[in-house]
Amino acid sequence: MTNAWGNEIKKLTESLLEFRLNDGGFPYRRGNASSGEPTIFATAAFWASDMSLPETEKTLAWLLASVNPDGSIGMSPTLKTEGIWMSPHFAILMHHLAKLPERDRAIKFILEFKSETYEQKEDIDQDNSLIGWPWVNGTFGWVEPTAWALIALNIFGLENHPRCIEARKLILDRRIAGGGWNYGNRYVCHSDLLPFRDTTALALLALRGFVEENLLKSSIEILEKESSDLEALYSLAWSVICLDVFGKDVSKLQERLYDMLSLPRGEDFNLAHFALGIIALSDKRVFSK
Amino acid sequence: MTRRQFLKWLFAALGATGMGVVIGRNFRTICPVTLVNVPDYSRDFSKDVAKVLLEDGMIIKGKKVLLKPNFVEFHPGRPINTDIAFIRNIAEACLSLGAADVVVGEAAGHRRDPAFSAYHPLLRKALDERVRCIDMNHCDAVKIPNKGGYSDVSAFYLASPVAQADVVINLPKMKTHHWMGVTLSMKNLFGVLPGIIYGWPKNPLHIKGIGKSILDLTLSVPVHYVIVDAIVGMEGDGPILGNSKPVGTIIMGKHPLAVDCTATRIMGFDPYNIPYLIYGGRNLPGLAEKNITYPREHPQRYATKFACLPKFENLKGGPFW
Repeated sequence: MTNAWGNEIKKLTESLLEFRLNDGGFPYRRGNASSGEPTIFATAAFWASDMSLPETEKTLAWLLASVNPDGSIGMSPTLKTEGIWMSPHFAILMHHLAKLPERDRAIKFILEFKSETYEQKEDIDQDNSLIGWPWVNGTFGWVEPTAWALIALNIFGLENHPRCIEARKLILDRRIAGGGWNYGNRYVCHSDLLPFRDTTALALLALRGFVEENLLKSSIEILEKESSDLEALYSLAWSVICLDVFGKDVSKLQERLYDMLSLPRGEDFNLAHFALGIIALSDKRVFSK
Repeated sequence: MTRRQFLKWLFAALGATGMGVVIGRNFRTICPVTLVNVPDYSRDFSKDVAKVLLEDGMIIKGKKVLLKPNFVEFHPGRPINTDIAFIRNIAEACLSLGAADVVVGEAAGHRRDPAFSAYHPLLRKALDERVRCIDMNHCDAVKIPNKGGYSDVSAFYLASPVAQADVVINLPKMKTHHWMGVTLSMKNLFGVLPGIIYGWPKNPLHIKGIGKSILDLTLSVPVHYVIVDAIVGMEGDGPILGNSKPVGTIIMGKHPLAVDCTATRIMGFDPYNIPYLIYGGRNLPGLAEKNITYPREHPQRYATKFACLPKFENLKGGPFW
């Protein structure tokens, strides 16, 4: 491992194993049941760290037991109809693990899974006719699930698919005037809403390479601003992942991130976010080509 | 009640009941709603809270208590959230009454990152170390039946800390709301559903109708007590972009509709102009002011006029105008 954080990453990644449950999955936090997102991120953290996950097959079996016949993945083997928004996450993991049949079935599902459109509302200045991806089947398209689907499809070389072209329009349409994104409304009742770091990073990753970077400048600045003392692991991890892809120097932010990952695991420990932090310290591009 | 209010109420009630069925219910339950004077957040009012909880017959000793504030998203300087000092006072009141466990839980509706809601460093720093915080967006869920039936949802996935608590205390912020007019304890229940199942925002609830979802959750989620942070509310373009509105009180009671209607009246709106409160009156006591008693302060003392979006000007009214 040539990464500057090599030894630290190894220790942090190994510590994930303390949380793995007997069924092979990982929970969001101790005392909870295994869940799809932390299991996907923990497995991805091992891959990003160039480490093999001991008893990988057990974890993969748990994940595959959560997969629906249509190729989507649910929250868990007993909650398969909920949480299908994490199908792009699963497809990306399968891609990196070279599990191509599972990946391809997930891709097929992602391309068929569509958000609903709605009539225009006077109070919300956005184009409600654009189709992206929803969190839940039968609902509207929002920034995070749409960005995730785009990130996955970009990795798989499907960036010119009509769904991707339209979804990029949706993401751009939801950009807040001063830069950045929140969950997916930019302007409500005659007021600009406020951006969040995590969704801003995800949207930037989804758009990179398809939109003039000048258009994205103010959004990138949001991630660069005041990151050094940020006490938010999830937002910081996404900031690092995104700024690194955009060629920014993230070494200081990674130091801050490492400090946060090294803190004692208190009540606020979230295994999915912790694993994402490990991915952000690694050299591997998990969420981009 | 004016003719306009009556017609609106009649229309809403008929729509809800499929025409011709009884309009509302004539509840005989008397709902005590206690107002405590708290001019600002620097005061220690935990003893007052503890006293009122006892007066209202709340048994806290030895119980697992879950406090559910409104922490929908966080932006410094904006009165979006139930104030951290307010949460601290309620938590201290519960500890002083011998609670076995006090947990502050929130499933923030807009923000995925819990560092901007349940795990905000300022919240953690303010609370006694015996009080735990839980991000209910990322946690196990328990399926509960929809007891309301206003929407066609058969069940809800409730964040497990809510289901595991012996006593759930709802701690909303007094705010205007750009879709519903006002947001108080009943609307605050959107924050007991995990985002990992419902998304950010919880769009399935919007699709089914925000008003219907508010009513279904109110009738399905076990909430034992409500304390509204009305020390400083939010007026104008709430629940995120509005402005501070000092009111100087906290509003406490066991009956969520009675507490919310009292808060609504203090804000200068008439509950009989707000459909989800009217519909609530079909199932719960506390819509009619004649069914509410005020053991301490009378809400008239705090009555004010919250600015609102032009589309909600017609909600204004009530007994304190």
